[in-house]
Amino acid sequence: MAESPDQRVKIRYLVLDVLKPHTPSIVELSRYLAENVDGIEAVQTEIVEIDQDTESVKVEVYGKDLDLTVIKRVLREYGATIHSVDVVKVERGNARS
Amino acid sequence: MPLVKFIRRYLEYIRISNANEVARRYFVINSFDGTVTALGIVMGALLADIKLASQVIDVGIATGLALLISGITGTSIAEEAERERIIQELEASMLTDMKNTIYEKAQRFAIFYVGLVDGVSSFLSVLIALIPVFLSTMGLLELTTALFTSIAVCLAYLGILGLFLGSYAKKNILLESLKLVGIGILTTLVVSIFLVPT
Repeated sequence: MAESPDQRVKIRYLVLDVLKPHTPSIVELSRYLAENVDGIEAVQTEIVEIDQDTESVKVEVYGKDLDLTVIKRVLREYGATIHSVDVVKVERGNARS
Repeated sequence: MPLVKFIRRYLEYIRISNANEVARRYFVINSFDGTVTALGIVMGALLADIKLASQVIDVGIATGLALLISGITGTSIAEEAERERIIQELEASMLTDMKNTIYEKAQRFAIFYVGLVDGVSSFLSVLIALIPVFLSTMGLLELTTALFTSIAVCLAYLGILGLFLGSYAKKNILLESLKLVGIGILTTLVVSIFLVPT
């Protein structure tokens, strides 16, 4: 039996390990992500490691119903790649965080 | 608004590729080149005793266009090689293809932008130097007066470039300005020595 829309499992929170060039900055990257992915409520980005050409960042994404494929595509457009998904929080139906 | 979005995107490309820093350098080098070249044209016209302002303008425009084309193409070729290397190095560090990312688009735009600044700055310098000669074709100035005024315009423009350089490098702006004006004066002297007035 198909689930009713409000019973669907939704991704509410993600922690991504992302590799990016030095430019655009994490401010621009976070803003671009928030502007271009539907359902995002907040983005928090933290630099973990800086190398000669790249930097590793921890991107925390908060939202109502996050689509990882879209997030991956948008980050890719901005020159960043997801190394791993380190934390995920999902909820079913109308449950609140 | 689409126009605002369009401008914002290209400003972002300039910021990401750090194109303004390179463009600023090319602007100074090529404005300087264009002005000194124009100084040569004006001195040549003066010493060869050319009687028609339109002839000076023809030579000036032809030279300016040649500088414009050489600036755009030459710089674009050099920048393309440089930016290509930057992308390849980044791809090696990222272990991924950077095609179609904002980073690659920004580097591609920088090639065009820097080339354009390079070519246009030398062309504009020649046009600025020839303003008195343009006025002469309108009958507002006598040609010899116009040519001498052009020399003054060239030296003044070199002085302004020196001020710009000095303020950017946080050096003594007067000294930088005098340095460039000095090169302009040296050019006029060298041309006067090598060209025998007719």
